[in-house]
Amino acid sequence: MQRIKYLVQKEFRQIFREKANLGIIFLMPFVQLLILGFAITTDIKNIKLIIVDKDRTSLSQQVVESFYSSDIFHFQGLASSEKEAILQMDRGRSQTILVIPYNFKRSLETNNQANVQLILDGVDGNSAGIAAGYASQILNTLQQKWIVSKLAKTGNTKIPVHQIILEPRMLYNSSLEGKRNIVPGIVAMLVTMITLFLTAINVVKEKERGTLEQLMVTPLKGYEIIIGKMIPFAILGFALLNVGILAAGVFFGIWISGHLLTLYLLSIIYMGTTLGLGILISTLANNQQQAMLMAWFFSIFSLLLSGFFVPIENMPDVIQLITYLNPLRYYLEVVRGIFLKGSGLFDLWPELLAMTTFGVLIISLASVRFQKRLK
Amino acid sequence: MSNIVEVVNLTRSFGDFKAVDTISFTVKRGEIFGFLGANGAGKTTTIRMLCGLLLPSSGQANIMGYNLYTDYEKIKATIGYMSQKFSLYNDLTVRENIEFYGGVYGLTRKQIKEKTKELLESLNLEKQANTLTAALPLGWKQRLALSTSLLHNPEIIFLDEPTSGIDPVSRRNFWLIIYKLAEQGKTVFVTTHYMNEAEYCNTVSIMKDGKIIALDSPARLKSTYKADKMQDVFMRAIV
Repeated sequence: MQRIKYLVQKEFRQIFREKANLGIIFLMPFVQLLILGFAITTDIKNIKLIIVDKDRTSLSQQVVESFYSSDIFHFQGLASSEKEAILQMDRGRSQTILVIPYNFKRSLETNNQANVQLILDGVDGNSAGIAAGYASQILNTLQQKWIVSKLAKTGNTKIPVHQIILEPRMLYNSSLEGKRNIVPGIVAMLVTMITLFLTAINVVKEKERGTLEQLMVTPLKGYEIIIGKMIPFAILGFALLNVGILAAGVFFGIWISGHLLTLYLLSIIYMGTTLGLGILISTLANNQQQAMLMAWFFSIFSLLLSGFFVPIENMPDVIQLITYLNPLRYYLEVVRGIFLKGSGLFDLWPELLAMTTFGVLIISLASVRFQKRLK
Repeated sequence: MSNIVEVVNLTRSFGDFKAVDTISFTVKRGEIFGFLGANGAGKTTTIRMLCGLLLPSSGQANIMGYNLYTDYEKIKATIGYMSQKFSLYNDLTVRENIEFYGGVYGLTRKQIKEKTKELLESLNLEKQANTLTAALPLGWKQRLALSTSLLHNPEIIFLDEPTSGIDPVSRRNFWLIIYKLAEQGKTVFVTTHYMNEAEYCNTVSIMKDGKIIALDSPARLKSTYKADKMQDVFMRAIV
């Protein structure tokens, strides 16, 4: 116990000696949370739109106006032909083109039906799909208006056709703001990265400098070194978690709706995995570059397969199975659940179980590899 | 005098390469045992095995009666070790380094305090107690490293090229400490490249390609090889 205490004291002295370290540990997450929180957004706004109005009638003018006044589309102007509009799209000046054909008004009046064409830039397929959805919503609204006013003229107030109007209501993230989903995700990501990278690099640094060899001839036991190395970074990770919670609340107005203690408990359990992995990496890497590379590889892999960017349900079946091996997947579920849904331990017990299993496995593996003897 | 280190047919291979090839020797309590040899001769590998850092491929070794394979945790508590690389933390102060190693070796807070005072006085480092270790000249660093490896009062001290790269005056001061230790009855196991340092040893072993090719006192080695200086003994032995 005493030996571990001295090891922890030494680590903290070294961490706090480097003022730059503190900046990296506490300021960078702040900046990252701010920038990423505002930048990574799945909300689609200001979609650049060019309209080709070939009809140039009062009705086509109403279509143009309703797109013009929408928040979703950013109207870039009219073009005289599809060809010209597509040229603008190639130059990046528009993402969507709405084409209103000749005889739009006449077709509506004679057949009660007319087509308009929407040309979309499919490079960002996700946004294109959402844009198409918004466009049809705008046209629907316009149509409703037309039907009602037409009926009013005939003195009839009852709509003679059957209409189904879908009214979606989102639970938990009612404003459907992407950042409500992204910000807790970033908190989870930061806790992962800081604990993983700092642990791996710290131990490899001692290896490089030769001080690890000196530690190994002391009476310190292997497990004492591992515990002594994990405690300081667990404390830092915990502090960082609180910085993240605070920043999410202050800057984004996203306060956790569940219990803080539940989040604390599950975070500490999760950190067992990342800290253990840091130690494991340090036993495999010979220098800091290698350790960085390995930690990066793991981080990218676990981020992409965690559901942070892409919902897991959208992934192919095989990949979905692989995500079960990803510890961050469970922690992300925990953080989002506690932040947005107010989930409690009772809801999160499968995650608790999974994270505990990973923690025990990885720390055991790290301990076996971290032998007190050199190779 | 009793043997404090007994090594029999100790071997360590890395793949096909035999870094240490069936060496045997004994070290007596209180002697200064010099380990000579070119770079890559197997000196460091031998020291690492004796300190329990490296598992031998075959052979036996006893240190203070403890078996290298089974009692290496006990061995660690009774030996001091100073590696080739500077083993203190450059980003800790002199005082913090002493405190850390003292704590790790199980000294009480009071003992650490006393030892620190004693050590700083004997090394003349009182003014530098709170400066970062990185700022010290190399010679002082090495003496500090030696002193911290003695905090737990070990019976035997392994020094791996402790004086390489430091100036002649510091080297002399360093050897004065080694003498003092031997006077106190400690056993010193030291590897070196400097042949004049070999003259100070009670027993010298010369290694080449993992084997011990000469093992005796400097005086007798000189008469065997018909040389006046250890320098010539070494040159004649390794060809």
